[in-house]
Amino acid sequence: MFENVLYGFSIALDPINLLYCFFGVLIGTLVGVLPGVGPPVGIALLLPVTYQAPPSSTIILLAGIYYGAMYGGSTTSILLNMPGEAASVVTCLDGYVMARKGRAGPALGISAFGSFIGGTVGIIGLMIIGPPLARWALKFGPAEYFSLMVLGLTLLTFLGSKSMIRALMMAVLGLFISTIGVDYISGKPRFTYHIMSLMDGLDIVPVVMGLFGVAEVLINIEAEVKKDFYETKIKNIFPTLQDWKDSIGPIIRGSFLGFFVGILPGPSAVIASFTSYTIEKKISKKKFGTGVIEGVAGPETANNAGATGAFVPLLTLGLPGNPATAILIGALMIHGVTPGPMLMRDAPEIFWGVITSMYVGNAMLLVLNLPLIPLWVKFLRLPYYVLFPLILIFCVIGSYSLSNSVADVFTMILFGLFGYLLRKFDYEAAPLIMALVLGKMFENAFRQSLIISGGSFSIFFTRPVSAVLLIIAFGLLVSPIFLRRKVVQEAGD
Amino acid sequence: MTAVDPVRQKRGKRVDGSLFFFILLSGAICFESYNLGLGTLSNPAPGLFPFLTGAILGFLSILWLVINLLPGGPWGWLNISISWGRVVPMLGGLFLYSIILDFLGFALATFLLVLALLKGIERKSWVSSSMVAIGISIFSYIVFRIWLRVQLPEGFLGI
Repeated sequence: MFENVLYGFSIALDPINLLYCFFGVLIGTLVGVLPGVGPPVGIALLLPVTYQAPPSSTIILLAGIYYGAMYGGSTTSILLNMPGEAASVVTCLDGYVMARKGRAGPALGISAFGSFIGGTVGIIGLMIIGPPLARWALKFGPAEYFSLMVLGLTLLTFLGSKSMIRALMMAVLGLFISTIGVDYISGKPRFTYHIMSLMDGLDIVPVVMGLFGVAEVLINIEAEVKKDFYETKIKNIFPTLQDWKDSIGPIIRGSFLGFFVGILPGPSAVIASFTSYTIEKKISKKKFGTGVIEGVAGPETANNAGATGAFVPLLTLGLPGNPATAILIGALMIHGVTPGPMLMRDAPEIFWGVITSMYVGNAMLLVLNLPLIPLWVKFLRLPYYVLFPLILIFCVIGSYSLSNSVADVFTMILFGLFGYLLRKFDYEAAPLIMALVLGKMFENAFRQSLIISGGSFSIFFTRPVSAVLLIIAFGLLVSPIFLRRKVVQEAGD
Repeated sequence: MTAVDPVRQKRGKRVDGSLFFFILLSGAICFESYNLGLGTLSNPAPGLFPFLTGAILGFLSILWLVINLLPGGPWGWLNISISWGRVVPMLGGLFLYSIILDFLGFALATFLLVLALLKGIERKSWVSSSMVAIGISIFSYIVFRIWLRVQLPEGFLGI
């Protein structure tokens, strides 16, 4: 492993890749700072820029945006009481109160240091777990892959949604949308209705731009977003010794919790930060919600560790855990790289280059974040009527520049309207995006399994790994029924 | 008197038009997929997988409908408020922007789009709308054309 790490550093410390990493974490922090622009949109917006770049540089840049956004989200939570990123929601509870008490500096400081430690622990975990997991997954056949993707989608809907049935509907819809275009086996066009631009299927970029970018703008312009900006001088960004004594426990717990939660599909960084907050609240004797530094340290550490943990299934199994990593999968495919367990063997420069660049990126973020806070604060003062046209133009150009085609822009607009309606009717777009990215692999694995087994579904249950994965998925699907019975019984008692 | 289901009461029973849309959509998907050919399980044709997705989508939609219509407390039709006055002009503006982009070029088309959005939807004054539109056009031009070197249409003005 040591040689691989050294090899990775030789990739990550290449001057061009250092520049890509810097650019990625800088943009990522800005994406995290600005409410309404999440990592999926940020990554999708910069995707067209990477077409001429090598695949390793592309993923270094785009990955930097993803974990950089976790750093940036805490700034708005603490200063604005408005999370720039969903994973920083809980940071508002104590972080903003700390700011009002004149302790914005230590809050921002411990958030940055905690994020760095969480990210570093996550990277070490990724280095330890990733390679053996990838080697194990090399033994997978189509049946195992199919079952793994079924479990992944089921887990996503189970963990991340208010209504599992509605989330599953979105996942299934995403699988259907992935079938639009020419069938790769028979060469027959499916659901294209003689529209030439649909022959290659729907590209992930305009779909993401529409569902997350345009739809978010449509939601936000309905009601004016009031910014409760607390004017405070930010001083003493370095936490005191007492702050460190109070925070070290939450930081250590948050690192490990965040990493292992991050491996699971779903909004892992969000779940990690909420879980960390809940645990620290239970453990601590202090009253949370009154400006307690543990309420910032734990969740901010956990969300960064979670964001890093999400790279485990991405780099080893080729499975995204959330929309942002789904777009990273899309980026790899655009560059002709097949994500999956072969990535470590066939493209070690990507595997080890990305992992080691995360060390570099985390260090850059720690150094950059605190001094650049005044700059981020200036961005936060931008009124939304200046911001939303910029977001829309970036979305349009991002979609247009894919293949200089207006058809991609039309796709973006359609999915923008669709995404807006989904939000209104309380559906979630994340399962749809995940399923859209996985769709072709999913169908491929399904069809190949049936061909191998001569049309028998028993192949999914006679292969042990596949059977276990499907049993877990089935358990998750039916668990809401038992949970519901328990609640009814308790209410009856 | 029927006891109220606390789970349903907590979640809130609700039915909305989207379920009927998805039921119809699933029917259409299954119909079109059938026409593509389902093949056999040992030799699946292009229509099999989408047919299954359509069938599962329909099943889930009907399941949700049935769950929410089961006895155990009142259910209501979910009322959605959609700001068509903002949504339609914005999407319409984006649609027109993509049409005129090639003819007018990126800079001019962007200026007109931003002006229309700020004046038409946000109801800002002509002066502030124009200033912001010019600023955003220049900023976007620098970012995309000069810095990122993205190929953008120049239009009849050649910029």
